[in-house]
Amino acid sequence: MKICISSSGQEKTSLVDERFGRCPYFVAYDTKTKEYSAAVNKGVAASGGAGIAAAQTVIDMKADAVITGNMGPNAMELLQANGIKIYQTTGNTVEAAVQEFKSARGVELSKPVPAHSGMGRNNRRGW
Amino acid sequence: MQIVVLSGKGGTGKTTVAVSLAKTTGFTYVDCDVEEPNGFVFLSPQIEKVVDVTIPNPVIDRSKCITCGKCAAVCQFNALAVTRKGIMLFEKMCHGCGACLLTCPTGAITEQLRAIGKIDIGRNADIECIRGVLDVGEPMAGPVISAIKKLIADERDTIVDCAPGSSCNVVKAITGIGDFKRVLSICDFLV
Repeated sequence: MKICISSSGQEKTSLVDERFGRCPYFVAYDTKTKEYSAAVNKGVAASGGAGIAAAQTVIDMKADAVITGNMGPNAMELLQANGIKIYQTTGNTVEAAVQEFKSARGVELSKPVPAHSGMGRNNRRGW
Repeated sequence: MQIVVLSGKGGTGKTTVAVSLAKTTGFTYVDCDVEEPNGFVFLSPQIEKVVDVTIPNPVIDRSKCITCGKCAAVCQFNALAVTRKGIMLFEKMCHGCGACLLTCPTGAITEQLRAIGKIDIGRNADIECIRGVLDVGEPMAGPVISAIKKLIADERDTIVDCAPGSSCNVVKAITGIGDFKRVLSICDFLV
């Protein structure tokens, strides 16, 4: 089983990024080989549809589950259509998030946050 | 002559000014604030014609699709995604550029028009009134504004009521206004 964690860095010691669509990297943990690997999130620099691009990155990494802070509606729809489980974590390192998941303390995420939540107050559309 | 009424801030009286100008001059009133058009509240014109505004969206023929993912890779708006069950379309993200159609190696993609809003054309006694209305929940106002601009591209005199701020919607509404250069030259003269 492969678990993808939205991360601010490429290491297992990196902090989890609570934004799914706009996190810089995804760190994957393989429960069989117990190895970590990282990939750049295609959604981080997208002008729009970051969540979809991020979900596509995770799908391309052949993940079975995702651990993140929050997720928007489009990304959630896409991951659920692919049968990828989504779990929530808060302010941890990647390694700690994996431990939390393994000890079955992971909380499943089923409700999306509003679109554009990960962009910060100043970057959202509107006036 | 086209006069565009703008403001950096919402709720400052653009519509009041635009409607009054149109009523005084007899010019065509055009509401380009398609996300919340409210000029018709004052003018309450008799609607004579309604035109739908559409954008083309891809339709994927699953029997021809080989899930190669080329369409998703070429999409600049992340509207397409490759899943285990096939290509998934997020229609609200689609700008209707047609790149996926051109890229598809098996010709599995065709286009279908999707309505995103409408244009109301009517009359209030002596003045012609036009407004664009974007459907609720649609994220992209540009095509509706462009459609209005095409409609008033002839030489008729218009007062154009705009969206607030300096967003894409405003830029779209003032693009091609011929007298803008004249306004600039006046500014140059004054400075």
